[in-house]
Amino acid sequence: MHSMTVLRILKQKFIAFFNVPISPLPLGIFRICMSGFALLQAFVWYPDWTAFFGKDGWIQWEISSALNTAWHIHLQDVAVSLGLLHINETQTVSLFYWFYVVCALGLLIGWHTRVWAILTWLCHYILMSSITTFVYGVDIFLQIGLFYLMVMPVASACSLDALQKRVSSQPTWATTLSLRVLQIHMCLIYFSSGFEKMLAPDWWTGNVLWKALVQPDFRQYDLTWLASHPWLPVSLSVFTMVVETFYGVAMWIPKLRVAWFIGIVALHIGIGLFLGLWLFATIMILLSVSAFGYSIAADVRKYHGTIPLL
Amino acid sequence: MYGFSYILFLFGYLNDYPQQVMKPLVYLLAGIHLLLVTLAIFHVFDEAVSSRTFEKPLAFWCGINYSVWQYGFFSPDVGKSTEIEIKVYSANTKPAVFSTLNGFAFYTSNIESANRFYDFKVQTGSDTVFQDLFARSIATRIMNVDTTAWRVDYVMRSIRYPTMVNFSKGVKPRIVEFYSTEFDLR
Repeated sequence: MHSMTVLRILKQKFIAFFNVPISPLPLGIFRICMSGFALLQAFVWYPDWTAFFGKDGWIQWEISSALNTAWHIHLQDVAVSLGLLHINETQTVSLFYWFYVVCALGLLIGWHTRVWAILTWLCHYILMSSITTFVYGVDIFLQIGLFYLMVMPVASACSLDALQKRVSSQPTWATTLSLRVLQIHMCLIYFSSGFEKMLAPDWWTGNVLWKALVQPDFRQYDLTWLASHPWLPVSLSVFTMVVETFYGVAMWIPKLRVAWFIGIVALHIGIGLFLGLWLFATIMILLSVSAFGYSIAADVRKYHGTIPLL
Repeated sequence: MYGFSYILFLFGYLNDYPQQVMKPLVYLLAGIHLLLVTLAIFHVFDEAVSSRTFEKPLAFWCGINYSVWQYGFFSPDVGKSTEIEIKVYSANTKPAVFSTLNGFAFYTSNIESANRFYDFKVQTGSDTVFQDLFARSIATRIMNVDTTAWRVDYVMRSIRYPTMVNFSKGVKPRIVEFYSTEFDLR
């Protein structure tokens, strides 16, 4: 009888977790973070755009399209289509850049959001398919984010659609489910990343971290001296593994959440500072802000008084 | 099933189906999506990814939303690095030598663009077909940038860093040339 009651309570909590309507504000913040990031990345990419995406870029279209699986859309396919309108390959590459920027801008302001979300996702998908050799974590996380923007009700807050009453700003089951999916996905990502590191003996000796810091691909400063102080790379490695692996637990515990969030932000700032992967660090912080920022702000407000703007 | 649910969802969405129909479908899709993410990180699809039947469908779906992708950042092989040295011979000048060890970042404008060549070097280092294709492509690009260039030498060297203990004992990084080619326009 008692176990039945416990089960019933657990079932109710489970349903409430995914079903009780919550504010759409976190989804609005998520949309602004991802579309703003897409614009930032496009801005950073601008000077080297043709070198990466041009017909005669670092990897010429003949090679990059041959490396693609048959089901992906390559920029070359877009150029063939636009060729029917007498637009050449060079013009296509330039046009595509500005079209992507306009789509991300439309998504940022939230004006007919769903249309711009689908177009931004499609553009980014084509970009990734066109330079598979140069794709890394930052693109993958942006693609995940843009996919969610396409299917989630992200126009319900902080958008022109909400301001002009084209979409409802009321909390619904869809906003709750969307936020939960994003939060669980983030927890799975960090668990996977941390746990895979824990399985590698070299992470426990600090050697992986040390090699990442000193090898020419990522080296920002001469940190070879760390070899004489191995306790430091070992401590940082353990910190990384613990913060990542238990992210999925700590972010659901109000008293731990703020500290863990600070830990994750510190970890990514470290990646930016010492490995030079600033865009990657930024998107990971923005994803955590989108998934748990609203809860963290509520925790801070609860324990330390009100925060301006929230 | 996943794809079929999506088609149902889109059909219902476009036809403005009532919430009683859409809500269970959306929950089902979300559940399947998170299940896929979980199965992928626990390596359930590892064999399927390399199988002839599922390789393309999985690659296609991975491109859509990366739900079947693993997130092992900075895996243990991160200590393996590759140097690319490019020697460009232009008219009436000594050859210009560019090395990724000495600041050469493929003529890129910022660190973020240069970072993209890490994966490029990893892929090139592990596949002989890529080595030939990419060397040719890079040489063509350089000859397009520097129109006076008439010859490009392209060399790749692997760099293996020692452990901290061995480095402290004076062991140097091991550098081995594993690929070289030259392109001559004369």
